[in-house]
Formats: sequence, structure tokens, C-alpha cells
Amino acid sequence: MKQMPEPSQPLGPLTVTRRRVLQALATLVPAMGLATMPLATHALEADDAFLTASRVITGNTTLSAGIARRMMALLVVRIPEFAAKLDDLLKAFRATGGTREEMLSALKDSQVQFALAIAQPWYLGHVGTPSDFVLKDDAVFVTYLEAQSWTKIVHEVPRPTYPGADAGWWDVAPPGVDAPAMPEGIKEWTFHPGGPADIMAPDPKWKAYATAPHASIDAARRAKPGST
Amino acid sequence: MAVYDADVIVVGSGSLGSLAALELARAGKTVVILEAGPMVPDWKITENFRTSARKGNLNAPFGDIPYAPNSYTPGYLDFDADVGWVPGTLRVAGGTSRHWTGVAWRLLPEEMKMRTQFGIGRDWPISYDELEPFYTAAEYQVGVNGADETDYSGLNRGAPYPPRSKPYPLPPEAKPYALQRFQMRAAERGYRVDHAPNVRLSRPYAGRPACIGNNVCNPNCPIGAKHSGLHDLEAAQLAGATLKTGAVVDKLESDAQGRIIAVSFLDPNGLRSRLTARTYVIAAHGFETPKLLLMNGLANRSGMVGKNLMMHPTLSMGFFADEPLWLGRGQYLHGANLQHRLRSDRSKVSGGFYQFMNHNAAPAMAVALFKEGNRIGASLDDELRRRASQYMAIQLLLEDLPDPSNSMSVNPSFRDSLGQPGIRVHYRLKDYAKSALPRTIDDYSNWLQAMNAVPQELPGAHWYNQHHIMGTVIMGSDPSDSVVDKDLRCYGHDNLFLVTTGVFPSVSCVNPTLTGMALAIRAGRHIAKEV
Repeated sequence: MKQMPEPSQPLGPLTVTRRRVLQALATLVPAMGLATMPLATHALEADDAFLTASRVITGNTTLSAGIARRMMALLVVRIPEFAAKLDDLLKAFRATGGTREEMLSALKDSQVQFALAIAQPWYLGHVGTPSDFVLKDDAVFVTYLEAQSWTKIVHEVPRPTYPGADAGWWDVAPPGVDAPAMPEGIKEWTFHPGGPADIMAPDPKWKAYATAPHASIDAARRAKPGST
Repeated sequence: MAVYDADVIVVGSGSLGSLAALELARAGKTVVILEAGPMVPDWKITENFRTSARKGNLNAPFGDIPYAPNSYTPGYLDFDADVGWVPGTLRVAGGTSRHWTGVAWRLLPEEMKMRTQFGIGRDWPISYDELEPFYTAAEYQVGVNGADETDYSGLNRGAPYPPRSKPYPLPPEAKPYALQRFQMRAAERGYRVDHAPNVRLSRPYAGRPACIGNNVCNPNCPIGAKHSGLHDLEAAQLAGATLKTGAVVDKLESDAQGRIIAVSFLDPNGLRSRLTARTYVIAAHGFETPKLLLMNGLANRSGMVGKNLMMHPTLSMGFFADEPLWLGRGQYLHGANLQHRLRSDRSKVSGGFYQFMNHNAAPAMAVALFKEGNRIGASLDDELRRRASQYMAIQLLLEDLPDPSNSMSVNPSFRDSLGQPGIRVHYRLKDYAKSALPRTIDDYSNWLQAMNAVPQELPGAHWYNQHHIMGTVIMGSDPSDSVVDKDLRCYGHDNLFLVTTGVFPSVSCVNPTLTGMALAIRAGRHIAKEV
């Protein structure tokens, strides 16, 4: 199956991908019907609907049907009124049409929250909240190879385990990075670029910035010294 | 003449127990290694990691064994502490170093005589010079990459330090691009970046391949480039030691003179067996070793069994640089800053060193973005890539001082499938470590400026600790305040030795495993002469 454009790029209005998404949406079961019928009797339709929604939400048309089935089974029992919300979401996608961004940006807040609830396990590869220190929690594994948080950066950073490269490949600039000029010796561990002989006292302006409470990363960006 | 089942019985098959066993077997002694947990091959741990929802949980891929619970088994470890990370200890063939990151520091000579040098803490009853040959032996046994020219005191006096009798067996591995960029810019504020010696091979060594940057040094290297206790166990077995897994030792029998005469253990079904030896080595790490002694009322005339718990208080920090760095290319950890390790104010402020983390940042960034919940689609993807590319993560490890009020004890309110108790920990951060916070915030501020960065985690919002368990069966020359002597022999029990990082009287700020390995080799060779 053809890979969707990189998520950071806009979806073209007449791409194969867009056509494929629209075709998939057009074949969905009627929205009202899915919401009112038991999932068990319409498993195939529900699976297709969930996979279609997942592909729109993640921007990845290669998501597997089998993984989607497993994920939906886990989400159905964790999200109240899952079927109705899925119906509602797909209806919204169909009504809007267009690109991934057009479909997502037209969603109401409640629909966005549901879409994020679908996105989260796709990005993280699991449902629930795993514990780092106890071998008991509500987390359940869904996927490793299709976890989108890794997929979204895989061109720059290989997914952990089996990078498919030789020893020491990591000392060059990552793909797409325009590396500033550095001294020739920088790759040597005994190299030191020079500068002050010992640690400088911090600039009060930067210390105030470092220790100030920032409501969010966005707020911290706006507050950075020198920001306009 | 008495007949024994073995010359030496080693309880615990981790790296330290196995290295002691290896030395004994090489000396021609009969050695039986008793391991509570099962044998689980490396490939299975890698597969379990890949299919686990708990990728940040170091113990998860090793499972929860009903007859050999680990520190993350629900209820097993009652952790009453004001630091945030619960030490992940394992009961499995190969021990807890099945999931160590593989950082292989030496202590400095000064750090082994804290009382003499700085008027605080305790001195070791042996000197650095006495331990040095065993550091070298350990480095050559497990394969350590290191930069021979480096002054690891952090004082940058232009000469290698501490002294070493042989160069590192392997050169350093490649330096990641992210660290090159950080080094260039942080130098402008007076910071240095040095190599962190480690066991993730830069070249093939002793049948293991060179590291190819799987970036999953914890819990397990998928190709065996990183050393683990399983390698030492296999070496001990090849040298002739016998391994018995599923052997949960709960009883040590002693005679009127305090000599141990037998160990008694349960199999997973509760069937009891008993073995005898001339000498016994308990190498069950810093929790299980004192637990076994406390359960049997042994080696505790000083009252120090389980006391003096030290875990390396830790500050964590992160920021977003103004340029792409892309952590996650290479190994989990390559470089360090040591400039606060041996400052002149060491008597008042804990020595510390920064380790520059190199995990793939995308999952953690995704978790944060979903918590924020205000981005979806391309906006979410763009922000995920922006944060993952610009993120820099740093940890400061700090020295702990021995204090009997920080302790572990037996937890009778927990019982495993064999009826064995759990562990209780009480730990409170001391002023010595806390006093390092102001200058850590200064460093963090400097790094923000150097990298024109946006703060993500300010050090000090939470205190953490490492998975390093030390001090709980403390070594010293005075039997009234120590559990073992300089040879790791228990006071009051001539044929009982403790081979664990629990014996450390002082812990520096650096990872303890290599020092534990050196002690294990030293103990193994010493015991071999006695048996």
C-alpha cells in the first residue's frame, strides 16, 4: 500500500491517498445504523470503520487491519458509547471530506477528544497507563512496529532494537539536519572546544527564566529571553 | 574427614556472584551456584520488551515469578522513601545486571577515604591501590570501553586519573551528533563533556559483537554487545561451576562457633533441599543479601545489617534546544560531565556527575502531548517531531552518605507462593545531597542559555534515585559498626562472605557495578586460597 505523505507536509487535494480515504469513507455503513446495532453483529463493518478513522487520525494509510481490530476491542470496553462516538466521527469526516487536516479541523471539541482517544494507543502502542515500578496496571500492549510515535521520526531515529546499521553510525548529522560547522576533532572524546576554564555564573536573566513557572511548553517558548 | 557437596556454595547468580564463582572454578574449586529465579534467555527478554506495554518498566520483561518475586511484584517491596524511583532488582539467572545500563566507572582514591579526606562518611578498609588490579581484571573480563587520557576526577589537570595499571581493553565508542552539538555550545559557559566508560562494546570482544546502536541498553541488549550478568554466569559454568535455578535459599544453618554448616532451600513447588560446603558466599544483591541474614539472625552483632542504605540521589532535568539534536541515535548513554565530582567543598556538598541521556524521546513526548490534549493531525505530528528532535535529557547522580536511619528490613506482611516475606525500605534524603541543588539550577540555567533552550523539567521539582543499592551490609575494620571485613568475610562467621554492592562503605556519585565486580573477583581469589 502506498505510504501517505509525511505528516508534516500538507495533503495534496488530489493525491491517491486522499482519493483512497474518500473511497473508504464512501463505503462505510450508514452512520445511524452502526450506532444502533450491536457491534458483534457488525464486526466487519465496525472494524472497517475503525481502521478508516484511525488512518485519517494518524495520517498513516498503512495501519494494519489486524492491529486495528485488536485496538478497537480494547477501546470498546474502555470508552463509554464507543460505537456511537465512532459513528459520529465518521459522519463528520464524510460530511467534511477533503484532506486529513480539513477533516480533523472541522471536528467539534467532543469529536476531537474521541479522535485523540483513538490516536493515543496508535502513537504509544498500548492502551491504559503503564507503571514503571509495579508489575500490575491497566495497560495492555497493542503494537510495537506500528507505534506511531516511533514511526513519525523513524527517518531520523531508528525504532529501538535492530537499527540495521553498523557500529558507530550515530556520530554523523541525522538525515535532514543542516549541521553547523564544527572543529574536526569534535568526534574525539578527548577533544575540548575551549572556552572558559571553569563553569561560569549563570546569567540572572536566564536563571530567572529557568526557574519561573511556565504554564506550558508554548508559554515557555513565548517567555524565552530574546523572544518577541 | 567431613564430606561436602561443594567447596563453595554461592547464593545468587548475578554478575558479582558469578564472577566470584568464576574465580573459584578457575582455581579448581567445586562451586555450586544457587539461583532463586529461572533461566530466561536474552532473546526472550528482547521479545518481551517489544511486546510489553510497560517499556519504561525495567523488570517487566522478566515477568513476575510467584516463587521468586522481584522488587516490582505488587506488595513485595514496601518503599517508604522521599525519592521517586523504586530500585528494580531481579531474581533471575544473571541477576539484576541483566538490566543494567552498563556504565562502568571506577571510584577515585579520595572517594574510598571520605572520613580521612573530607571528615564525613566512612573510609574503606582497603585502599584504591589494593583494589586497582581487580578493577583492571574486571574491565578485561567484561570488556570496558574507556578513554585512557581522561582525568575522571573532573578537575581536568591534564593527566589521566585515577591511576591504572593497564589501558582500557577497548577504545571509546562513537560520540553521538547530539552530544557533539551540546559539547560545542556548553563549552562557551565553561562545561566539558567526557566519555562515560561502559560495557557496550566499541569492537567485538570475547565472543560478543560491537554495539550497533539498538538504543535499548535497558532492559536488554538484543545482540549481546552490552555485558550482562548472564555472560559472567556462562563463563563460570564453562569454568566448571554448577548452576541450580529455582533454588530459593531461606535458611543458613550455623554451628556454635558461628560457622555456616549448610544452606537450605525450596524449589518452586516447596520441596526442601539442603547442601553443604566449606565456604558460603551470599551474592544476592543489596536487598536480598541482608534479608537472608536478617531472616536467619546472622552477622548482625553490629546491628548494621540492612542499615546505611544508599541509592545515589538523583536530579533529572530536560530542555528543548533551538536546533535538532535527535536523541536516540546510538546507545542509551555515552557522555558525562564530571566537574562537580571532586570539588573542594566535598565535605559539605555532595559530589555529583551529570550523565547525558540518549533515549529515543518520541514516546515520552507523545505521552506529554496527549496529556496536553490540544493538538491533533499535522499539528500533533509537527510538535511531536519538534520536541523529539530538540530534546536534551540530563541526570545528576549524587553521593549518598551512610546513615543507619536509611534502611531495609524484612516485610512480614508480604508472603510469596512459598510463604517467604518481602522487603521494607525506609529512606529519607539527607542535607548533603540536597545541598547540591542550588548549583545544579545554576548549571541548568547555563545550559538553557548555551542552547538557547526552552525549559522542560527544572531540576529539584522532584528528587529521584538510582537502581543502585549499597551500604546494607557495610564493610569496615571495626566489627562494632560493620558487617563484613576488608575481605568481605562476615564478622562472627569465618566461612561466610558477602559479595554485593551492599558492602560499600562509601559510594561516590558513580554507578557501582564495576566496583562490585572488582570486589567479587578479589573475594573469589581470596576465598580460593582459603578453601
